[in-house]
Amino acid sequence: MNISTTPAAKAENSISSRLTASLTALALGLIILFAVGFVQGANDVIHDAAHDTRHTMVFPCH
Amino acid sequence: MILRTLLIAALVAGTLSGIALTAIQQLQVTPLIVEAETYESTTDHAHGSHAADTSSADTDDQRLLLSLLSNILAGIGFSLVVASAITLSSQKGWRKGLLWGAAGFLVFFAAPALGLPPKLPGTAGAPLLDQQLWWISTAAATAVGIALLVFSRPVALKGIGIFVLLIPHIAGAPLPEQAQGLAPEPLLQQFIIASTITNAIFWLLLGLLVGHFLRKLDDTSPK
Repeated sequence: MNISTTPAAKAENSISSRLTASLTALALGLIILFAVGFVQGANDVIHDAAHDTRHTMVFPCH
Repeated sequence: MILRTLLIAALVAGTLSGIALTAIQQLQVTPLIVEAETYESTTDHAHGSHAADTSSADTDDQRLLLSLLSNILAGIGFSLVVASAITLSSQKGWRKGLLWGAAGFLVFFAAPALGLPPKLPGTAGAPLLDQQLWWISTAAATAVGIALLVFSRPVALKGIGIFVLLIPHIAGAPLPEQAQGLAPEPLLQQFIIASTITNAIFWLLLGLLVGHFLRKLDDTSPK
């Protein structure tokens, strides 16, 4: 385990900064997944491009 | 600094697991989808740009490239979610990562697949929006349920976790009015097994890589 020893390192790894970074990454990840897994797009263009990914990963496709 | 570490780790882990997913998919899954489309193309069910009659090398290359791209994007998206969870819980390293990957498999594949099993093209389904809403609700409920079950101390909360896990399945997935597929049953069985194995490998690899890179980047970043 990586244990922070100095107060400064502890402060940088404070709960609030970890929370902010984590929630930002989570939101970004969910937006990407929504595009890959759920958006159909004009003329189904996104559906067609991500078709085999959706079928493989059990995203509802049809 | 923390966000940068998260983003880099997710980008690298997601890209690698997306590439691995594509390789397994090409061997195990895509041939079955293509075969199912031959049954589909004999009906009037319009289906995008890749019907079975477009089997030229160019189209195959394009299909592979698009699948690679969307697999990598899915890999990065899922890696961001896993990296976020790992950072929140301070459980870096590849061993813990494997466990997070297993959790991801349960949340994003196994639980939704219990109600909406892997489908081949041409399989009848309920209205798409209903399926998508059930899928999202099930993934969310499974994530909350597992978190309560694993991380909460009081037994009562663990009990609530189990209940939350079960809610989507008690409510039931939206079903088509007439359950019938165009592809023969053995092909569908084969597809369900192949996609389950493919997703299991993808998720364990993804979790392992995210855990590993989060720790590695954390060790090397200036404090």
